[in-house]
Formats: sequence, C-alpha cells, structure tokens
Amino acid sequence: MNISRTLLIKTFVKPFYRQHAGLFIFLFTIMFGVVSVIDGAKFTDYHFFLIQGMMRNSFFFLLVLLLWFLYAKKSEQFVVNILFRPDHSFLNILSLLGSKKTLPEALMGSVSPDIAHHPLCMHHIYCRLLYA
Amino acid sequence: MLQFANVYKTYDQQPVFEISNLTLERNIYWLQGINGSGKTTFLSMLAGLIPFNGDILLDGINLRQNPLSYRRLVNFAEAEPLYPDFLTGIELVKFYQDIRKAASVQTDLLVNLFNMHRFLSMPIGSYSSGMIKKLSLLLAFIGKPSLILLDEPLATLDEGSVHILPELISAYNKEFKTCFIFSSHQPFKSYSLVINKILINDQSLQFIT
Repeated sequence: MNISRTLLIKTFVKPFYRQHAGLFIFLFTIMFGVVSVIDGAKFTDYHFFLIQGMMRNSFFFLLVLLLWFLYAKKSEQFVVNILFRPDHSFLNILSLLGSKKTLPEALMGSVSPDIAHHPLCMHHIYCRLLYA
Repeated sequence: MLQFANVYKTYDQQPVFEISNLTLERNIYWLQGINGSGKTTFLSMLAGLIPFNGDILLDGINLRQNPLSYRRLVNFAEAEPLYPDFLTGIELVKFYQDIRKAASVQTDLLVNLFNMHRFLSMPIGSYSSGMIKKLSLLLAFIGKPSLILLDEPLATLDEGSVHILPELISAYNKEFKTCFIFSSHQPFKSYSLVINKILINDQSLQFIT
C-alpha cells in the first residue's frame, strides 16, 4: 500500500474508530442485535421496512438526513482537531502532493467521507444484497 | 536567490521586524539574536507557516502568489519537533521520501550518517528528545530543496551528529546549491563552511562581519 495512505489510515482512520467504538457497537446492537421475530416478520424485513419508512415518510427522511449531517460534521471536526495538533504538524507536507485545494479541503474530500461513512455504506450494501 | 520586499511582521500590533529590501544569495546564513528577537518567527515565515505582510520570493517564486510551488522548494526542521507516538521513524522517512520524490539512495545515506538505522523501526514514542531531533533533521535533508531552514539544529544532538551537520550542510550547498538559514545559540564550528552571520536586532536584520 502507498505509504501516504498507510500514514493517513494510522493518523485518521484508526483513531476515529477507536474513539467512536462505543457509538458503533451501540448502533450495530440496535440495528442487528436486538431485533427479534415479531408476527412472522423476519430480521431482513426489519431493515426493509426501515428503508421504506425513510423513503415514504418525509419527517422520518428529514430526521435521517439531520442525523447524517450531524455525523458528517462530527467526523469533519475530528479531522480538523487532528490537523491542528502540534504533533501532527508534519501533515502540512501533504499540501505538496499537487492538489490546488488547501490541506483541510483535500482531507475533507478524501479521507473524512471514507472514514466516517463506511458503516453507512456497509448498511447500504447489506440492504442491496438482500433485495437485489 | 531569496528576496524580501517590504516584509514586516507584527504580533498583537507589536512589530517583530521589518525588512524593506534584501536579497540573500544561495549561501549559508547563521541567524543570531537574543531570546524573543524573532528568529523562530523569521524561519516560520520563510517556511510559509505563518502570515506576514510584504513579499518573499525564492528563485523568483512569490510565497504569497504561489505558495505551493514555493513550499516545494523549502524544507524546515523545527526547534522542538513533535511527531505522533504511534508512528515509526521509517514510516515518516518513507512518507517524506515519497512526497519529495527523493531517491532511496539519499535517504539510506542520511540514515547511516545520522546513525539512525537501529531506531527507525521503533515507535517514535520510545525515542529520546535527541533522537526526535535527529529524525527531524534527517527529514529536512530529504530531497533537493533550494532552501533548508534549521531552527536550533544543534540543540540536544549528540557529539557525532554535531560534527556531521556542518559537513552535510557544506555538501548540500556545494552539490545542490542549497541555501541554508539556521539559528543556533551554540557555536557552529566548521572549517569547511563559509558562514554569513545575520543578527536580528531592533526589529531589523543586520549582517555581522
């Protein structure tokens, strides 16, 4: 693997998941662990109805978008906090990679969505596989 | 060639220094001055890390107008470098080598010169302050920059590295025509180096003969 990518994973991705491990365990328990069979509905139906609810009910959809936005802001803040730490000042050298964007912009555009939205993407793939 | 035009820097509206017009050739410069005179501020400004008023040009490239191209020409070693504890020295060396597109022959040579090969695979958290300083100097010499800035390069260094540094500066200056500006409170002894001394005094730069 490219050394820059390895270093970014060690400085951003691993600390992000370590710091938010409790939140992810809680969410995955809610989404996959505590769901039981009710009135013959299967475990997979639970996710299907959840998705239908999001798409059909505007209030539910807006609530999901709001939570998604807050989560994105939280992950963005995490990246910015790391960039401003004195022991991570060596990351300034990344601006020499050739992007015309500033370093925080470049990271926001590549690393942050990667690290922050993997759980959401995994849930999306799971649902696509079930109902393909 | 490093050019300054109407450069001035203030902190909380207090002037730190003012350089109306100055040109520095690709030589070796020893920045001197009492504590708080603005040596680190001057070096950080040249590295493009802090804002200032006026224009600084390196080989004709204006720091304000073309910061990316300017920074590609400058390497900077801080006085008290800090790195994440969980990274290893070799990861940082390879990272700098990759970004500055340096040859592995060069980094291998630098690692041997600074006698760092025994420690590089260890996490930086286990390094002493002297080893971290050596690592920061090693990183500053990676590539072929036009300008290398060294803030207190001799602080916390062992005797072997103190002797190597002037030789390395001399070699880079001769081979790559690299300009060096360093600050140091310790005597910088080398018979092979022609050092120009600059004093920061009364908010201005003065050459010492």
